[in-house]
Amino acid sequence: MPMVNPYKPVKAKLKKIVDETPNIKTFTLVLEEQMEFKTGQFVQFTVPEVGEAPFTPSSSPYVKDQMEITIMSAGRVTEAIHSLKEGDTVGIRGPLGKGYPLEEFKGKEVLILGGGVGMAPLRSLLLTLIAQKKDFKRILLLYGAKTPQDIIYKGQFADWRKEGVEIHRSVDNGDEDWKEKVGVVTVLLDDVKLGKEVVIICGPPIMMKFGTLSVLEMGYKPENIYLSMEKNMSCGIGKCGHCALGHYFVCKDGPVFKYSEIKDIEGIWD
Amino acid sequence: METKFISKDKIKQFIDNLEGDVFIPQEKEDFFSWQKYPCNFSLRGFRTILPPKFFFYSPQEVLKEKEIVKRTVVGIKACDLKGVLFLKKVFKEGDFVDPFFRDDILIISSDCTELHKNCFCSLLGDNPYPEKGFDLNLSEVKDGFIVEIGSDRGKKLVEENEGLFSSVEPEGLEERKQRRDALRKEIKGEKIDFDGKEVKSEKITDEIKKCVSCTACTIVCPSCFCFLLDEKSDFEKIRFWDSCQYPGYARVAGGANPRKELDKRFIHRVKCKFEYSPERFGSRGCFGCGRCISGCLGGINFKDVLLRLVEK
Repeated sequence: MPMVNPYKPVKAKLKKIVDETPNIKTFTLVLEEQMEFKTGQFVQFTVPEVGEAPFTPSSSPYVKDQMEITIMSAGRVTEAIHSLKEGDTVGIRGPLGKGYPLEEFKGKEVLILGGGVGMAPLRSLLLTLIAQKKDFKRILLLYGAKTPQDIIYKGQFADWRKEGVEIHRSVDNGDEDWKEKVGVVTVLLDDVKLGKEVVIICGPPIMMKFGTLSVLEMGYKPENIYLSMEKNMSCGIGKCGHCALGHYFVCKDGPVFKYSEIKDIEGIWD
Repeated sequence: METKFISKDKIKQFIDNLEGDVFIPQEKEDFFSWQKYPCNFSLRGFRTILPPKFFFYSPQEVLKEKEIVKRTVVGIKACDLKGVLFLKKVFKEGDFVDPFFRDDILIISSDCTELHKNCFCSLLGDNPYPEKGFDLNLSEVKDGFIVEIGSDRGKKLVEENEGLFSSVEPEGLEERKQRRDALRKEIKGEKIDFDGKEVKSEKITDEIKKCVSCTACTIVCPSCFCFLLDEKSDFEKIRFWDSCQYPGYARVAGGANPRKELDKRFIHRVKCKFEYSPERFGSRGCFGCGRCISGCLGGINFKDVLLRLVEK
């Protein structure tokens, strides 16, 4: 019987690279073997002889022939990824972890709170929700970025609005063309009347922390707050130990957790 | 379990007959070390200076299918056998199975006949003799060994070497019991009840301060399993043992690090062994071999650390 090697990636060709912001790019990949994933599951992106780094695809799981991954240049591996060119071959290992529990969102008002490149996995979620929009009472997206230039998927918000998603955006620092809100993303919570059913948060650690504290204060229940935890996922299969968060391994038990599951663990925001 | 007897003069013959690579403890001045057979060997004493996890889980390995040579490890002591069984749970159970951890190795364990000064298995409620998980276990008695058969592979091995074994007299089993009880009594201290849940780091601040993050405790631990992956060319991976005691172990791109501080890493290790591992794998991750004490550059006595953590 041939060995099943969970450490071996599938080869993928970089079909297209889009500059989203000065330090964020979206990579469209065509995999040699099709890889089905659930929205919210992640993959390991391999650059040969450099390393691997974990990302949640930002494309819809309904799109089978290619996969999009939006990546900020933030470290050794992501810098190498940013220097790749269209036509280069990389590796993709996955899908890993558990996706967003869509069943738990059904029939409810779904609030998505995103910050910066944290919008990447949320885009996949949003596209999935849009594809099944009849199943949800209401879909809202509150998105914040540092400046108007740092907003990713700039041209796509209009399409999502057309699909019935209520969208509010803010930037920490505006410019003369910016007509929307200025301030950290949580200021947008004051602008909308919410049924406080479920909220999904993804963004930089500080935004995750204050986003969570804000929605808790508003009356969201800890078990209805879904957080995408970013820890050092390496093997992705619950063996190597790096992403330990209390007794969980974020790679296999997450990366999406309910706040109620992790609230008592030290260091969740660090 | 079924038992047999093998005399001292026949044990070498039996080991000679084992196929493939055989590793066995050799007695040095005041410790035991693993050697590749044929060599002088000893099945007496206590655990080897390094754990047998090396044989099952390579410290540095390219993760691709390769030829493997049949391997037997003889003389694994009780604590280390528990360590191997723990690692098997980590690597071979769950949604994903690691194909590179070697669970094909034949295990011939043996009873401890004396204690190392840092041993504390009984403090955790364990015994200095193997009770399960071996293919064969050897318990020294006068003139030879009681051989306990723990698996079908062990049984087959005994059958293949039928002429070397004889049946066990009741006095033999009685002698084994007496020897085991006597050694167990030598381990000082009552069993502690520690589940790692309420760890107060203030109780051990002075001990934590001695840690220099050298990671020796994790390297010599029979059950520490953490590893690091690195990328070779052509999408092959290589893995190395890693340690949660390195400051950068849990750091992510962008710099966030949940265990930047020494005390957090130290407590994480304690909780991993006693709180998290039971929840993750259904087994505690410390078996009282005391190697972390022997190996600590800062002179931390982990046995004392545990005793202080359970103090009211």
